[in-house]
Amino acid sequence: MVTPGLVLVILVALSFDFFNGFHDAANSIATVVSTRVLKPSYAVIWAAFWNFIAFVVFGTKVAATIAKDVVKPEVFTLGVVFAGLIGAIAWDVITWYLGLPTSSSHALVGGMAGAAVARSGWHSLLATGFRKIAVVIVLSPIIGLLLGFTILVLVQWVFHRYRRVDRLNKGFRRTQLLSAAAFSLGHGANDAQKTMGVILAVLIATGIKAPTAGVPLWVVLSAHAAIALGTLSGGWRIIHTMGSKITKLQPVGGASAETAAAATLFFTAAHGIPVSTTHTITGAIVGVGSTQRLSAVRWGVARRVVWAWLLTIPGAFAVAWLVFLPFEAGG
Amino acid sequence: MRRTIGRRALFFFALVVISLALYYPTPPGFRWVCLFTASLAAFWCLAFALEDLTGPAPVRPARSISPLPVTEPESPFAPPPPPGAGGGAG
Repeated sequence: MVTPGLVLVILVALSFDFFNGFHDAANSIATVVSTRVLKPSYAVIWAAFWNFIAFVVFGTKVAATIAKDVVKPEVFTLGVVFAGLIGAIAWDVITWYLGLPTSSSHALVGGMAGAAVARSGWHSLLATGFRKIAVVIVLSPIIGLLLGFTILVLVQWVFHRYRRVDRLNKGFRRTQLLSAAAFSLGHGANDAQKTMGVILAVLIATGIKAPTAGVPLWVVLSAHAAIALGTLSGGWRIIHTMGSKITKLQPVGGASAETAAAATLFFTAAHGIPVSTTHTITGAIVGVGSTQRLSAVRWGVARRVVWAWLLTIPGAFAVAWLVFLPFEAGG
Repeated sequence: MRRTIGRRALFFFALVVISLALYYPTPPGFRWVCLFTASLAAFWCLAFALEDLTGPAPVRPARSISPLPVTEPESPFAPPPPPGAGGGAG
């Protein structure tokens, strides 16, 4: 039965999706904006379009990952999901204000875990899922870094005798449009599906859908629309951190970083490996910066970003735990 | 001057160590990813180490010709202004 509580939780889930797009818009377009391939206003429209189109290209296989891998499904109630989402949104807003590119997916994991622990204790968490996520927090930037470095070195090796630098730069500016589109496609597919998973879990918990049901079309469309609208709203603070503070980027470097990150997203998604889009592109930008010399990367900024990554799950956990306390007190 | 392995080779060596350290904590289905990143990092580590060891030796910075330290002359007065500058008879 559709209750006001259920409608509220679905609206909060879509708000999380909006903030996810708002926060992670930087991932898709920071390099395009910082290399001046597109004006910021056009870049967000470009990214939002590919975010929305992702539902046509990718299926909804990842949608239930959050519900299955982190918390025991029987612990989910409207209160748990609500508190978990508020924890994730709060962490996204804090890191957006500080200009830190953190993972919205990990904020969601931390939020759900915090609310579940507040309701049923530590045994409600699934250790295998958390171990997988902890490993991926370290691995995904390393994959992005190594691929970004390798692709840029290969590109430099292939074109090092080419003397018409202006024509080469023009070519890479066009390539960057494609790589940004590919990355936005991967971002839309990965992150919108996590919200779909949350909404599906709520629909199953309230008995509206059977446990074996797939994701309804209205959930798919509304999740992609919410993330695309969030991307349209942009997140300029994080774009600044990623596009120019970590390292200075040229069109060739931007195209290499995005190609590396998009390749990582497509490849790992095909093998069912949950990686963070934020961590992957940040690693790729650091890898591209390292091709000049290690000191071309501002390691102070990179260290601040890594600290924010490590604090994401505990931070969202703590907020969600606090938000759930009134539900616990009210029975 | 003695040739040494540079920081970039050591950086990629650190990535090899981290990737291999993650092998056992990683779920068995994804362990090949750790091996992939370790191999790629090992390749770059070896490439940079070979470049450092076989390339031209770094040049020691040139020393001052005079063995004596350069000292400022002790004087309580400011040095005279250059010709044509300063508050002359204008």
